[in-house]
Order: sequence, then structure tokens, then C-alpha cells
Amino acid sequence: MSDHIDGPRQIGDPAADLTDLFAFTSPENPARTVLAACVFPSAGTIAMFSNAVDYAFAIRRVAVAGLGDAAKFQPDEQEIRFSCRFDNLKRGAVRTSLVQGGTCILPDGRTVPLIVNDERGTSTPDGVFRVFAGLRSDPFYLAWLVAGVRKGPNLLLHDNVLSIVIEFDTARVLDPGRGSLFGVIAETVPLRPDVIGQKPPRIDWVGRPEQTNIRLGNTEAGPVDLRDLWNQQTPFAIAADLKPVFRERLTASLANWDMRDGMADWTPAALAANVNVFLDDFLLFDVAKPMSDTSHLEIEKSTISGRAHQTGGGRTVNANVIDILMTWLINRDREFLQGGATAATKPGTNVFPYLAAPNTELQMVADSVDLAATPDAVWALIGGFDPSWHPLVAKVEMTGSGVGQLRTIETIDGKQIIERLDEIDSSGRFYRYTSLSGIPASNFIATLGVKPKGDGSVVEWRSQFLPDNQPDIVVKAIVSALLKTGLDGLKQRFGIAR
Amino acid sequence: MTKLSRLENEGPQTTDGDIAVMNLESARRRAWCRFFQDPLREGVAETVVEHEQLTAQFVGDLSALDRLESLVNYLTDDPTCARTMLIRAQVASMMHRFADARHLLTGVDSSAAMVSDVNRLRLNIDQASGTNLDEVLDERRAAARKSGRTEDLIALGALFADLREFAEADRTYRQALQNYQDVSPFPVAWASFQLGVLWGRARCRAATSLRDTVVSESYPLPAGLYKGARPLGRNLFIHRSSKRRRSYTDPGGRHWRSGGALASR
Repeated sequence: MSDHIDGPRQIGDPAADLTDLFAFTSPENPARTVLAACVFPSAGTIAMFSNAVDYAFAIRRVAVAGLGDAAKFQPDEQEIRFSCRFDNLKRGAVRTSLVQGGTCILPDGRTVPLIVNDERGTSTPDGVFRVFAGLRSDPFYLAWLVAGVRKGPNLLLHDNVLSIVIEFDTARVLDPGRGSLFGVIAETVPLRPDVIGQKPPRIDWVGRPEQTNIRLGNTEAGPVDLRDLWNQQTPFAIAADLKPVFRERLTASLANWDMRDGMADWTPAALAANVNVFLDDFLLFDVAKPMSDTSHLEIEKSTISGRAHQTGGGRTVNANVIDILMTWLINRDREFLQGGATAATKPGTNVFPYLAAPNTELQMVADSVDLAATPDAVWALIGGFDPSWHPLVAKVEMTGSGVGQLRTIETIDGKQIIERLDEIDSSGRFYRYTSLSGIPASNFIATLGVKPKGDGSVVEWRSQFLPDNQPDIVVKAIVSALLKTGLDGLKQRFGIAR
Repeated sequence: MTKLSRLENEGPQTTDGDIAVMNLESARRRAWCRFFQDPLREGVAETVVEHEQLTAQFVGDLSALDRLESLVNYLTDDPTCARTMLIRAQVASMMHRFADARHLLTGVDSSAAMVSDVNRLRLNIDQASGTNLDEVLDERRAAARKSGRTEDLIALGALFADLREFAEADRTYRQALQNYQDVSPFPVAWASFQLGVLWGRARCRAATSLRDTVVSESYPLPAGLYKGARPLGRNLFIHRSSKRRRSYTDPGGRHWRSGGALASR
């Protein structure tokens, strides 16, 4: 996944694990540029930034130093740097809430205070800079089972990440008159030197998406995991003695990707050029040209193909970066490879901070009962998707058969619930269904199954859902009562296992 | 033995304990959601196990053990498949049911892809139960020498302590702290706790008088680390007094050892 969970050090503290980097023209104002970086894969709703980490963006002006098989992007020595640091938690106005503050150090040395999760962000008095930090819906989506290049569901559905978004006046900060092509990276570095006074190695950094997990981390290209070693390199200046190691891995990896469809679309010379470009890992963007959801990697692709780039490249929040990348690596844009999803859980917005509001945390209710009856006997009663056995059910109407079958339930207090069968495995004795209406929740998925246990069996019933227009606790109580009453009914019918 | 004063300003700056515990809880809850979405997806159940282990070890939340038992019940794939057996072995080991864990590991052996995971768990079980310690020492030394990682050094230090080689244990724990370059406070809290236990042993000659306050009294942890270290102590020592201990202890196993903290990992 993009840069998610890309090595042991990143896994140690997820708040320092960079997942993605974005660079795009502000949808609110084309004269402004936006940088965004995300950390903490699969963050829960209470996630906070580490107070021991420097979260930084570094931008360098870049020149096109070669075309075609000699494609090369040469970064400048001078760096434009944004650095964000976060404080310990403090009690908020509401006694139970905890608040985190922070500071963003701007390229000109000024600082901007931050309040984590304040959607308005903070601006400098002159309006040149605006900064946000907080939890957002993860804008990245990956809908491939990558190993076999098979389409799948979005593996990051409902995920959240912690994000830092910095928007600034392009002309004032980047001075594009001196050159409009830039490379940007984001990095996380421990704040304090180690015990012998050395600056500790950075924890993570990211330029283009998937440098670590898909390109360097391709296990079919070599058994040794190079991702931590890569993450400890200095961006824009990979150690000369290690470059051959990374080059060799990238060459093997990209050759392997080329053959994933059984066809060779890359000549050795073009593949080497592609390797060289990816070895210089920074996200390219050109502020003098249009950036869109489809312009990601266009600068690299055009340059390798021997022509001048036409777009601003970069990476917008809604860019389908995985499909763009896989198409490029596997068939060199011969045929677009569309994964199993066309958007993230929530698409980005046109309003600051551009990354969508966080997803509500899925609620779970699960219950089970041990019964003094064989699994087959219990399954014979409950395995038909017909819930007439449930004490709260007054009437049931079944529509259709097999997967997709609907059941319309009238409860003894007159409510109507409609549910759809999504999967059934009679040999495994379980089924999965979705509740379509009648329970104040969305995305309601539940499974009911029977397993052998001792001389009897155990029935397990579990559900997850997003409460709709009701407090979590109320919806959980409703669902808990449904499950418990049903299982109690089975207890009375079959007896309790001793 | 190292003088305490020399350690006062040592140790890396790590994420504040309040933040780390909150983030662990955040990640733990989300891991369960992902598990329920797709229990069979590779890595999902393993992530839940990892978060619940950390929660039990560093937050002192023993209901994590109950949740792990539930997880084992929820694993709906073939209970004899290697992945499920490895997870069940991990959970059994965490509850100090070492004989069960060993039995389950026997069934995982055939899967080459899991050899390193199986070996790591078997090593931890051996160390926790005081079995094959010469072999464990060789492997721990080799791992620490090869990686130099804090986690490997702490495991080696714990083994030295169990072997009553206190000076070596002290040196190894200190090296673990000095080598640490990350920001998670948990490994530091773990090493600090083990140092506290070690010094307590050396001073008192009897581990029975130890309390979790040993850590905060003996070793001035960096700000925020008490949050991680104190529950760690409470959790480890709870094995000595809790009624639950009986059910979590292998009937044929030895008494609790400092390496026991490794057993689930």
C-alpha cells in the first residue's frame, strides 16, 4: 500500500509512519499550491500525532537533465522546508476531551500555531500560508490483490489517517520565475539526537507513492527487505555506495512488473531509464502547468518517452495513483488497468483542507451461546436464512433464493426489517447478510454461524455497522438486544452445554 | 552494576505515554473493525493479536486476553491451517499455556513461509519456560549481534537475568536503551522495567518483594514513560497474585520468569 506500514521502524510508532504525499494546485485558488502528507495507517478516531517527531516537507527546484533513455531530473541544492511539531495532550474545554496543539515552522522562519482537528486551520496574518493538521478519511485506495494482479475491493475502506495540509501562495513561496518544476518529499524524523549526539536516522520518508511497498518491496525481485534501509536514506541524496543496491532491486522489480501480464512492454534501455527516474524519488510537480486527477506521473512518463511534459504532474487527493502506476509498470500505458474501486472511501473536496472528513468508527456487537445440540441440528434450524426461530420475529416474508435472497421481517412490536443474504456456506455452517432497512445504521453487515464445541456446539453472531442519526450507544443497545434475544431463544430450545 | 546517576540523562526522547497509549487504543479498535470486515485477510488477525498483546503488556488491560480468546473462536477458516494454528499458539503462549502452544506449533512446522515466525515463538516459549536455555542463549546472542535491535537486546538481557548473569543483563539492557533510535515508548518502557526488576533482584536477592514502583524509584524515565512502564510492571506482577494466573499458567510449567514477558511475542 502506498507508503503504509513500509518497514519495522514505521510499525513501531504508527504516528510516524508516512502513508502518502500530495502536491496539487489549490481547488479554491489556482494561485496557491497545496502540500499534504498523511501518517498513521488505519488510525482510529482518537489518534494523535507524536510529540517526539519532526513532520517535514522539503521542496527543491528540479531541472530536466535528460530525455528518453537518458531521462534525468536534477534537483537543486537549495531546499524550501516546512516543519511541524506537536505538543503533549491537554485537557480541552469539555473536561473529558483531550486537545493537541502544535507548531508549523515555515520556510521563512515564522511559526504558525496549530490545533489538531481544527478544520479551519491556521493562517499567517499576511495570508501567504494556511496549515491544517488532524484526522481525515484516508484518500488512498488500493483495489488490487497485487501479487496476482487481480481486482479486489478497496483494502483501505473506512480507514482514516492523520494529515498535515499546507497551502501557500505559489508565487511568493516558490518564485516560479526561476523555474516552475519542483520535487517534494515528506519525512518523519525523531526530534532529539541519540545518546552519542548523532542525529537519529529518519523514521520514514515518501516521494512518489509506492516506492517502498510495490517497487523496492517486491518480494519476487529479491528476498532481502530493503525498505528500512531506503527509509533511512537522505532524500534528494541517496548514499552513493548504496545506489547500486537500490538500482539492482528496482531493475529486477520493474522487470518483474513488466511481465505480470505475460508481455514485455519495456526495452532494457527504457526500463533502465525508468529505474533511474524512480531512484530519484521525489514527487514532481510543475506549478506553471495544469494539475489534475490524471496528471500524476505524466512528467516522468513524457520525459522517459523523449518529449516535454504537458501537465503539472503532482498528485491530487483523488488521483487514482495505483492504477496509473500499475498501468505504467505493467504495459507502459498500452491499456489502462482499472482496479476494483474507482474512488477512496470518501473523495477529496474542493474546500480546505481538501481531504474528506474522517470516517465514523464502525461499531461492533457480537454474542455467542454454547448449546447442548450438535452443530447439524442447530444449523438445520437457523441455517436457512429464515429467522422465524427468533423470539422477536412475528412474521417473515422471503423473496428469491440463494445469495441475494431478501427477508422482510415484521417484529412483534410492529417494526419492519429488510435483510439480504450475501454469502452462505452450509458445509462451514455460516451465512453473512446485510441489513438494508429497519435498523438505524448503515453498512450493517452480520454473520451467523455454528461450530462444534465439545459434545455440543457454539453459535456465534456478530455484526458491525455505522450508527445512523442515533447515538452509538442507542444503536448498539438495539442490536445487542436483537442478538441476545435470539441466542436466548436457542438456549431454551436446545439447552445449554454443560 | 551501573551507578544510577549515569543513566539519569540517558535514554531517547519518545512519544509521550499519554499519546502512545491513546494511539495504541485507536489502532487496536480499528484493527478489530478490519478483522470483522474480513477475518481471513492476510495480516488482519495478526495485527489484532499484536495490538492486544501490547495492550495487555503496557496498558495492563487483562481483558485483552479474553478478547484474544474470542478472536481464536472467530477465526472461521480451517482450524488446522498453519496460519490459524500459529495465531492460536501465540494466544496460548501469551496465556502461559506453553504445552498447548508447543503442540499447536508442531502443526505449523510444515509451512516454510512461517518458519521464522514459528522459530521466534518457540524461542520465546523456551525462554519463558526455562527450556533448552543453552540453545536459546546461542540464538539470542546471534540475533542481537546480527541486528543490534533494541527488541533483540532486551530479549537477550532477559535471558541473562534468568541465568543470574546480572552484570551481563545490565550491560545488555543499557545497550538496548542506547541503541534505540525510534520514538515508540514501549520498547524503552520494557527495557526500563526489566532493568528495575534486575536491580531489585540484585538488591533484595528475592524477587518476591518487588513492586511495580521499582521502575519509577530506580530509574528516572524520560517524561511520559511512566505511563507505559508502570502498567507493564503491574501487568507482569499481576501474574503473581491474580486468581486468573492459574488458568493462564501451564500446569507443568515453571514459575514465572522475567523472560515470560516474551512468551507471547
